[in-house]
Amino acid sequence: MQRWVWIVTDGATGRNLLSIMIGGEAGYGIMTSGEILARSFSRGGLHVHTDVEYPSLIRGGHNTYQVCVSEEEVLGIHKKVDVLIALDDRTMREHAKEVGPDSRVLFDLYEKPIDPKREFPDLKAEVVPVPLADIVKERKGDKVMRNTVSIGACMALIDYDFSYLESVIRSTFGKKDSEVAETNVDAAKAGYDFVIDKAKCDVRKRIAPVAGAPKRMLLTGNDAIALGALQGGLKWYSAYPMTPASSILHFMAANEKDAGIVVRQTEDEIAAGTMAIGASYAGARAMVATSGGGFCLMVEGLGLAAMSETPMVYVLAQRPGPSTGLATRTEQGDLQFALDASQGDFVRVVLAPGDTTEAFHHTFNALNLAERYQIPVIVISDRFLSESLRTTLPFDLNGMRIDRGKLLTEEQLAKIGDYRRYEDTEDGVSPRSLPGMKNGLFDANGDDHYETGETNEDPDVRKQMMDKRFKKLTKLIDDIPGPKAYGPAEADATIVTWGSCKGPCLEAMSILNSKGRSVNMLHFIYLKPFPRKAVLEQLKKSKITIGIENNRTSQLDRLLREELKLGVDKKIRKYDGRPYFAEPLAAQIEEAMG
Amino acid sequence: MTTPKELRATTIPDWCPGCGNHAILMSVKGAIADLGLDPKDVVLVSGIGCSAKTPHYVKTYGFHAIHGRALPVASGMKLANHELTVLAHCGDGDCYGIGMEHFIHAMRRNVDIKVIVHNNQIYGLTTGQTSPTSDLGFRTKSTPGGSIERAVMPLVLAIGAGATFVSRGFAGNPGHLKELIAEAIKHKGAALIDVLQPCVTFNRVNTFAWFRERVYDLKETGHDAGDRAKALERAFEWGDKIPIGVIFKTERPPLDELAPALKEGPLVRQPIERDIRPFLERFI
Repeated sequence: MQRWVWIVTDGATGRNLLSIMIGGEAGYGIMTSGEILARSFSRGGLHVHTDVEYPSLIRGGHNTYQVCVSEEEVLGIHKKVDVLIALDDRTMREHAKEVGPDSRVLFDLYEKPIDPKREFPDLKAEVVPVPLADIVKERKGDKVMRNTVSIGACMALIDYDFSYLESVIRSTFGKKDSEVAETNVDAAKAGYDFVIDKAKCDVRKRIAPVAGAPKRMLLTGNDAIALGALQGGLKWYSAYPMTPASSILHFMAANEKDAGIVVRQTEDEIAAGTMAIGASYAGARAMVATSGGGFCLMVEGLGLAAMSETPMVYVLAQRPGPSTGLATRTEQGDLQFALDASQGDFVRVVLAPGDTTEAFHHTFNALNLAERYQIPVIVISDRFLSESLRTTLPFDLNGMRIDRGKLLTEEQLAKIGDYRRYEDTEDGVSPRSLPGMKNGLFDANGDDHYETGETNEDPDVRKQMMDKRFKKLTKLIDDIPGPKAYGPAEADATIVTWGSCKGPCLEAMSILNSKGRSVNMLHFIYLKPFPRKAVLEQLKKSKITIGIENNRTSQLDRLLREELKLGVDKKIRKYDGRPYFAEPLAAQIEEAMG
Repeated sequence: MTTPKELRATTIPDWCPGCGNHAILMSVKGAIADLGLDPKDVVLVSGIGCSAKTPHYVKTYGFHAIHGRALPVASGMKLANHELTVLAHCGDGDCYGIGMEHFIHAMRRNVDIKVIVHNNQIYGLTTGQTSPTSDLGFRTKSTPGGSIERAVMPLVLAIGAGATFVSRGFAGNPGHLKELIAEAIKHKGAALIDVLQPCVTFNRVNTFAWFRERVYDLKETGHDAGDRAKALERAFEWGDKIPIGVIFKTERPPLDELAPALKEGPLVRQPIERDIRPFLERFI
């Protein structure tokens, strides 16, 4: 029999936080296994945050899927790994350093009889050998099923009730083929039983289901963006596949019929963007999503949306650039690009949600802002937010109201008489008709134009129409929330950050504050138009400001300097294509605090 | 119903006197009037160039977009409201140069839009450079020694791309062109009308007179537009003899009949509020 030894694994914040990583070549089923693990914990009432790392290839290479799980909320990824499931040597080699002496490594020493201590000198953790390949062979299964055996074994290692894994495997595979589901349950159980019966090891770290926990969703940032768009009355979605935005396309395509959306995969991002403009002009709420490279192509359409005052929402899911950069990794390097993309001056909104809940609500809001002000709105995400799974309370739908702004009806048009689409109104927003409506004829125009839409190059008209479009700012600025403050009201240092850095920064902040340091945080979602007044008020309260961004040139800090002539005191930057991890980030903040 | 005169917008065309565009404008208005279309249900979409000014001269809805992108803009609006008649006006550079990719895909996609290409074999509004349809040896400001690239063959490309209606008109024969545009509008699916449209300012080779010596009406030859092989033969014909009329025509359901979301009627008429709780449930 085994003896259970309880160890609180996150000494930093006092939480019981367990981190599991599964790694192997692409094609080994790493993603599926990671998701099944995450779901098994989520069903047990636990909080989960995942990070998926994979190179741009389909077979071979090195993929990892990390799952951080706790009874309390997990907002970011921790560097430490408590259980490493190594489906190949490379996983052992590359992650040996991340596993401490109390951690466990699951490896098939039966298939590859080596001396792990000699082969991997960095490795301090104990290796638990499980005959993954043999268990699969006994069941005449495909070699890929080793992943299922390994996650079954993992459940035994951490003393987690097998029934959660069993139910998740059934719902994952059962949809397609119940036989496949049963084979996988059997293989997982064999892995589980092997560890319980034969593996000579104690359970060092465990995590238990939380009874009576509220139901939570497990979803990615992209899922949340797609759901926010559905809630916001989206009718049109066009895209060209590009990581890390593609899963929005997959979601939309799968729900095209149920949700009543026209979904088109186009010949390129230029077509995706301009088709959406055509649809929006005709009256359908339209959104497109891409990454930096595709956004480059969409920019000519972005300008057209601005000049023709056609509502548009662009989702820019960043990855490291320039050019193809690191196609499947994460970075926040496109903020300055989004702020000023396209020739000419025009009003736009740029916003960057920090987590799944914000991604849902602010994508919804993006569709409203786009139509209320007849402008383009850019929603910035990145690989980390777009593809990481996170447990989230079901979205609160109360008070979410679709606002179509100054969209006219035929009855209203009949009363107007001399309708001018681009009428110079007090707030710069002109009442809008749609093709098919009586008395509403007009030409939308990418050339600058007079109130009627006719091309006009008169200097006074140009100035008037530019000013008309910029008048939108007067009301728009009131719809732009300032950055949100987290942590104690007063602190020795204030983290200043934006977008997806929110979670990792909050994790780091909580590590530091539980150590007795005094840190709070200011998180920006809305970046353009810049909520100047709110920012100035909040910055006044802070002592040392520490800017934290996932890019090379501190792009938010550049924005602060431009808008306020006031930057952050200290800068922490990361541009290795990976997200921030909580513990090293906390150490960097502490160092910056002096 | 609407007459061509009622379709005249207040903006006066600023094309050169004698430009082939005037005849195209007249033919388009004639076709809209002949078919009895309500101007509120018609949208003229254009890219950039002399051709792109057309929407401003017709009293319907219009969208003067950007260079090369008339077809995706037109496709988006047709799918958002498939009760609209959507006519895209492009130039040869617009459609066969910068917008070639969209042209090929619009043809294969078969969205029910009508693509009227004002083909003058020259870049006019940028004051005379070579175009994708400029003939070999053609001298322009950008090819002073004569073009050393052969011209694209748009009709051949359209047939190859899977177009369901491929035709050519001539600005020197507006009556014929009007009939052609009307036939294209009645056709269900993407339709190409490549219009020989002499540029009287920058193209001194392919003039009205040059075309009059060469064009012949396919109707008078008993051409079978349903025969793809014969159609390709006609599509390749360029030089001493140039065919006009419907070159190829076939039936294939347009995209708006295939898109699952459009079974309930035009997208813009469907309710905008939806209950997303069943979608949220899937993530629990």
